[in-house]
Amino acid sequence: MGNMNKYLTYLLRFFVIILLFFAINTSCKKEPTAPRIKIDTCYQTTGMYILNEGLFNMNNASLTYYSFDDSLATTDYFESKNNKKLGDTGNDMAIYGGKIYIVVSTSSHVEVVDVKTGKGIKRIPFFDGNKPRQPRHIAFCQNKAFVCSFDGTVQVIDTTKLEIEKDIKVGRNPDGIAMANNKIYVSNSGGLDSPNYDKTVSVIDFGTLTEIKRIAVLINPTYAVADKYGDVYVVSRGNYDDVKMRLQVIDSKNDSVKKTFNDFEALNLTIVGDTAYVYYYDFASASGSKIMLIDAKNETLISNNFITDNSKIETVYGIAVNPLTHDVFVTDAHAFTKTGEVICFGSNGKKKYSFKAGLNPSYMGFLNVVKGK
Amino acid sequence: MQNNTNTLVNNKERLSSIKKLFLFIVLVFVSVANLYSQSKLKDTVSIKEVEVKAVKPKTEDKSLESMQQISRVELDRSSGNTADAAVKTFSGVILKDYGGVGGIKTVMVRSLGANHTGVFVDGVQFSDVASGQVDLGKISTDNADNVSLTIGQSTQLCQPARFFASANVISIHSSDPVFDSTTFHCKTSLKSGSFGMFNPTISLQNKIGKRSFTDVSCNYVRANGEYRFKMPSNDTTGRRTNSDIQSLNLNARYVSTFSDSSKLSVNLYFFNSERGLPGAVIIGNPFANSKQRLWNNDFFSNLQFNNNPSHRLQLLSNVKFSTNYLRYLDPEYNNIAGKIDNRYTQREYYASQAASLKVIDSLHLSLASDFFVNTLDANLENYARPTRYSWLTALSARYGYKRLEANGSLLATIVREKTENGNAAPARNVLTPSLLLGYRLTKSPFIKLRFLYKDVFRMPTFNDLYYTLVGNNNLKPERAKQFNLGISGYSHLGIFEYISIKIDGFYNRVSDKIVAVPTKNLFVWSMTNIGQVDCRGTELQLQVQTKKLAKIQYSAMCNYTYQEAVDVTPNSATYNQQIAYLPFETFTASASANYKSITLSYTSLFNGYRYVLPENIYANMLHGWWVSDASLLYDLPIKKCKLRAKAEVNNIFDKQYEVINNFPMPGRSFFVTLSMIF
Repeated sequence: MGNMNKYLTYLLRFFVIILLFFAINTSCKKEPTAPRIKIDTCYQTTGMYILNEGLFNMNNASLTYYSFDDSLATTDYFESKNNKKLGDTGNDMAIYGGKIYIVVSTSSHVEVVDVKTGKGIKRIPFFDGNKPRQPRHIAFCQNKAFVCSFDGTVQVIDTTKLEIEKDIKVGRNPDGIAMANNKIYVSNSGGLDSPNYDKTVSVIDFGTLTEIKRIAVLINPTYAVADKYGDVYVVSRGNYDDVKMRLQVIDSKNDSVKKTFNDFEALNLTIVGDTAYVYYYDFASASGSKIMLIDAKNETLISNNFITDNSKIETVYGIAVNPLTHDVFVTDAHAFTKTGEVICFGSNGKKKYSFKAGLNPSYMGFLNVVKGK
Repeated sequence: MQNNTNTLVNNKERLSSIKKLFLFIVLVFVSVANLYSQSKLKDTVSIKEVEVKAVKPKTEDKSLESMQQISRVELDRSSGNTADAAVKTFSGVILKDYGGVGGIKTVMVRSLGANHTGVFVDGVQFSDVASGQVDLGKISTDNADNVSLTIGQSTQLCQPARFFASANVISIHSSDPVFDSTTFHCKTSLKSGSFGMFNPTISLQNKIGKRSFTDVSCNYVRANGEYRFKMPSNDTTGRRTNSDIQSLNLNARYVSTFSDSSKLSVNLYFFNSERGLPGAVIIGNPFANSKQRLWNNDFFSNLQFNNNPSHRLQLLSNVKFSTNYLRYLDPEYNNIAGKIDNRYTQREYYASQAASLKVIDSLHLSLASDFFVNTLDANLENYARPTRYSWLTALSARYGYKRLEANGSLLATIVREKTENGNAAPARNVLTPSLLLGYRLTKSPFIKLRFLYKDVFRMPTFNDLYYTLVGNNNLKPERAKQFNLGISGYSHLGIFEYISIKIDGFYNRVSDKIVAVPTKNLFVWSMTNIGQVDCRGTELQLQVQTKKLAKIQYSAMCNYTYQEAVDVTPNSATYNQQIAYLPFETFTASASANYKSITLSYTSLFNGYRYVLPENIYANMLHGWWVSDASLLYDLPIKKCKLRAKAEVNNIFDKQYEVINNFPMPGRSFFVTLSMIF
């Protein structure tokens, strides 16, 4: 009986040791975690919007929607979705926060449209009592939209309530607006007093919503576009005679002009990533349009001619680059009294395809949605 | 300030030299007139009295030139009492109407714009050298005897050279009073109705001595011009405001016929108006263009002399001075001044001598020479202040033998310009011929074939040449070649005591057409000579007048025009497309019934669809429209006076339509006019 007890004790001890051994081992060994399931979220461009300016006093501003799924362009898209017309002179368009903001200058209102459905959300009137303000261009900063109007003011709109909250007085006949470094830059053209043009850019501070500075620029400043490096590119159109159209760069860190491109004339531009697409055409010689490429980081000219095949564009009136596909869309307004078209170029400057838009197509915006939705 | 004094001094100098020239011409004129008033009287010849039964054929149904007329009787029955209302029912005419009582009204005849149409009142041309367009709403037809539209030119023997210088001529003639037993006539009327209309007129005719008379008339219009509208192109509704008008028109004529049947007439015209300009209706902006205003102040004086109309050598002399002031105000412009306040003053000094000689019975030769000076002054910065010297000489010959009639003319135009600021337009010397041929096929019924070829041009206006930023002082004149081939006839037929039919086919080719294109930037469009237009069409006209059926006399007319005017500018983006604002079809029909002293009339006007931009797409289309008017006239003689009451309803069916894109026209309106003639 004694031996049996001895073996049992040994076995028990051995059992405890092994138990301990396993206990130690399993506590050091990491428990395998549940495997991570990776979900592929892919954005794609389903369509694009093109704003057709129309002509002054013709009530024919319109919106074209081009669907990439079926390659169909619907002119009068806004009218078909809302049973009413956009208005007179569609001057600017921008997509922000799932909404399209269309600045209809002569009708003196901003039409806010849902980007997915094309249905109008609100029409914001721009009147000073009985006097139309004539809004011209729009820029955004955080939750506010800023619209410059030809009567020398900038309206601040809350992007949720879609109401004008404040009017800020700037220079004469502002015709361009952009945001950089939490400040709003407004080009004061003074165009209605030609040849006594204005030559300043107003700087509005986002925090206080007041004008804090006026930067001296070349006469008749208009279009303003900001890059991601805190620079604001402003085109000064001169006097349509001996003073030529020039592109200037304003540094938003010290609010002064840091460079002027004196080697070429420029009419307007769009900036995507590190590249600025600058276009120009000479009305007097009617020799066709020109699109130049500028490096936005170093402010140097990359190419004198973006188009590398022999495609001819009569009158460039707008450029937009799809940030997903890097395709470059250029509008051609022809002679301004005939419906224009949109031409798609690859990033290599070769024409891919084109489609008809409305009268004087200018600004464009892309509808990017999640795949499958 | 220094600048202003200098320009004042320059103006004075220029004025005094023109005044001297003007006075010299008046002196020459008066001395020539004196010479002719002293020639001997011919012996009188007596003829047997013959009763004429047939209806007198209308001039336009027999004439060599293609012509349409509306008589005093027809003017009384139709709606409106201004020149635009009279011409809009003519074949081949498109009236461009900006709407309302004060809205500007200009005409397009066979696709040739208002700049190609000369407007003459009693032989004096109403011209606007700044814009080249005459607002027909300014010309009253209350005292007119007839209003006519002539394609090409009139073939009357003795006419100033200026009558040869337009593609088409609208002519308004005042009635000469007939004094039976009295030496004094007075006509007074009051028109009232829709748009707050208040329109009194008064006209006094006084016989002086045996062969002279004075004719003074005064016409005042005041209206608020407001009306409700619903625009068919975008369903916008609203009320037209800032369309009030206040105008005063004074006319004075002194006509003296001498013992040798030569005639001297002095004509004075004064027009003053202030009106609101309602502007285009803009979606979402009821205050757009809501405060613009326009002032006009026009004056002209004309001296005319013609010798005995039965002389072998006919003479017609004219001397005229006119001044036109226009002020445009936009008190809401976003410039430093906060407004646009443009003032323009035009002056014209004109002298003309025309002569016509009857060589043999079948051949007449005419020579006319006109010299005139036009100046334009404006308060625009650095304005050019141009002066244009024009010398027109027209040589024409008319031959008529049996069935054949021919009229050929050659017009020489010499123009020189100078400016105070900037370059002046270059000198122009243009020679333009024209030929009219007529061949009578049968005498009863009267059927005649007509052919017209005319080479015509219009000088660029001062606005085309010198307007700040827009003007192009190198512009060439716009040229047009007109062709017309037609057949016209008249007769009596059964119950119709008069029936006339006209069928015309026409072709116009316009070259160097002055068109605005962007040459500096999108906002600044300049004038260039790049257009070419090809226009072809047909006009059909029918007029009938019945005998008295159950004591009622009926008359009716209808006309139809079909035209295609396409852009044939080489390399044009809209090649072969119909030009803007020209409907393909227009149709007018009117009928009236007269029973003793009551007349009922009905007119219907149809303008087919047209495009508002050169591109012929649905988005640019303005729908066609039918508008009908009716009027009731009642004459009541009381002792020595005659009372007349007229009630008119315009646009009976309240049709909402636009002639110019975004300028809605008034709906239904009513007017009552009471007049007294004694």
